[in-house]
Amino acid sequence: MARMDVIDYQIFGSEMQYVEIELDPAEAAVAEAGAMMFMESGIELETVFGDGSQQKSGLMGALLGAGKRLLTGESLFMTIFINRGSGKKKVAFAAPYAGKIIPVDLKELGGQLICQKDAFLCAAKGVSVGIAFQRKLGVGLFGGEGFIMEKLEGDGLAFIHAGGTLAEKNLAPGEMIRVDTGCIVALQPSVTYDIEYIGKIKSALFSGEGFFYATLQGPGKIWLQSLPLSRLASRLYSAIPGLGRGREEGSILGGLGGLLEGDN
Amino acid sequence: MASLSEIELFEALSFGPGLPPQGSRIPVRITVTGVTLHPGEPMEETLLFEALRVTAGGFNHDQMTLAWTENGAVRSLVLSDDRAKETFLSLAPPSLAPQLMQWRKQTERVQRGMRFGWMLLGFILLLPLLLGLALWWQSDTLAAWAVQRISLASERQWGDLIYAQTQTGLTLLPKGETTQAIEEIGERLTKGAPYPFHWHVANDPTVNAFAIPGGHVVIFTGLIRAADSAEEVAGVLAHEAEHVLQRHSLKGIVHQLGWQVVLTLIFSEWGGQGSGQIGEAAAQLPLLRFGRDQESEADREALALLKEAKVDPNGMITFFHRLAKEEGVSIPLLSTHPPSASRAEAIQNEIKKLGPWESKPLPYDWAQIKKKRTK
Repeated sequence: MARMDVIDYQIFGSEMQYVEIELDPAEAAVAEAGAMMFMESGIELETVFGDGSQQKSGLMGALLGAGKRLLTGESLFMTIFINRGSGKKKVAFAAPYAGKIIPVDLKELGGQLICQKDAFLCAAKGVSVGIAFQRKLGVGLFGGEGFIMEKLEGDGLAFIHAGGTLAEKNLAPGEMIRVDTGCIVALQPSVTYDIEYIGKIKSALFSGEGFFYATLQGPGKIWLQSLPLSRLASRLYSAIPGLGRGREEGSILGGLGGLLEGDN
Repeated sequence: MASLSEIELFEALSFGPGLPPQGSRIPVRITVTGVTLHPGEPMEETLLFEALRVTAGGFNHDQMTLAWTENGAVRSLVLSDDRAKETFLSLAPPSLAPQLMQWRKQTERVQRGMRFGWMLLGFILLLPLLLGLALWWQSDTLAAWAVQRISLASERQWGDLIYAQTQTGLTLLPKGETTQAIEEIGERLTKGAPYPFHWHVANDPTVNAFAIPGGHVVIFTGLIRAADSAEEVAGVLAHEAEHVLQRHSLKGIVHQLGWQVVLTLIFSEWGGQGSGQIGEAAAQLPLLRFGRDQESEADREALALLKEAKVDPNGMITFFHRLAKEEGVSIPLLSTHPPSASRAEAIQNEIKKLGPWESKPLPYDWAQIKKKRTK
């Protein structure tokens, strides 16, 4: 297990948030390239190939990690912010669009969390950001997230970001919830993620909900977002004069067209 | 007698009333009686196998969820460690067998589906690469096949185009005794051929002749001067005509210009832009060099033409012999041909195979024609 840094944080804002992290001397935070908003003097940044969790895994390990990151559509590099000064220093990371930032204590969650692509914002150094392949073909094609999701591993604090308002739900053993495919943000690995056909062709065509639901079955915690970015984008797109109606989110084409992209 | 697996400790996630919603990580031990939670601690409890319901679940559909009811509430334990799952499977009593079978079936179905899915995806992604390799590997065969698909009409039109382009670089002889002789010999040799042959004489000291797809044959005055009789020239003309008839030139150009040509020739509307560009591209090519097999084939088939036209085949042999003897002179006509000794031999054999034929001498005074061309 990599050494974890324990960090103090504070989240500011209501709909457009940013998180301010306080680093003790020699402590570090790792973030997606481009998420940084400001940092106090004394904090230095280093760019690492891959996710910075396996600093000593050698070149092949780093290459493999970086290759996996390419698959999730992230940049090949991550940025590590280290407090090289004396005394506590702050660094802040901003959410990329309207939504909420959730602090997730991986230690509490059993060391692993699976979340949608692009959900990861920043974390204490030592958290690794990998990929989770969806093994069920149907879920990969129609589950809304595509075949590839992000997997956060470690014992530290991580911050994930999602669109709109967040719903955190606790599923009891065997409890099942049906979710619109674009609305899944994160789930514990103990949660069973599957898809279910909507059932009636009339509903599939005219309910506007698409052909499939995602079904999530406990035990475990899940996080849902009220406004997937793609939904916001498609409403904006269809409202732009001259462009006509954009692709309806949740349509069958969306499901098929985004074979590896998903609809989020 | 406890085996090693019985005393091995595993980590599992425990869910239920009074526990955090995200579950809590606890140590478990699996023995022949059941699953012991918190072994060795004050809160130790052992679940009997008979009380457990086993289901498959989790993000990867490969976890083992053990559920049981306690005081009316459902509690569950999630095993995701492979060793833990194997231990459970090996120690569980026969009464759990149907549930375990079901668990295996479910997890294996997902694994199979995943393998199939990824294989399919990999195949789809690799398909262009495989096709590319196949094309490269079998390009000659494919080119030959594609050439078969090109219609004679297309080939003729295309040949006209290439000739029109090529002609700009040639100084053609005006109509006269020489051109007439060449045309007559050529027509005699290619009577009834599917191509409307056109015979051209170009003013050029090189000892050479070449054929363009679709039936244009160009012979250089250098070759006319090097020949000693009309029969010798007839041999060369028959040989060049065969390059056209066997579509060697077409194959060669297709080979050099690539697939774009084939596709254009098969699908394009004539007079379209594509064909014009291809004509230009073809005209830019250096004179085609044929492979040895093609040359031998042209020799063999040329003899059949000579037999059909009742022309003496020995001219062909003597001419190549004489050319090969001229040292220090680069003769393009010979550069790609099989060594002339073995070539002459092959021609002799072929003549034997065809059987002797009665030849009529060609009615031209070659010395006269040569004299005109040595100015």
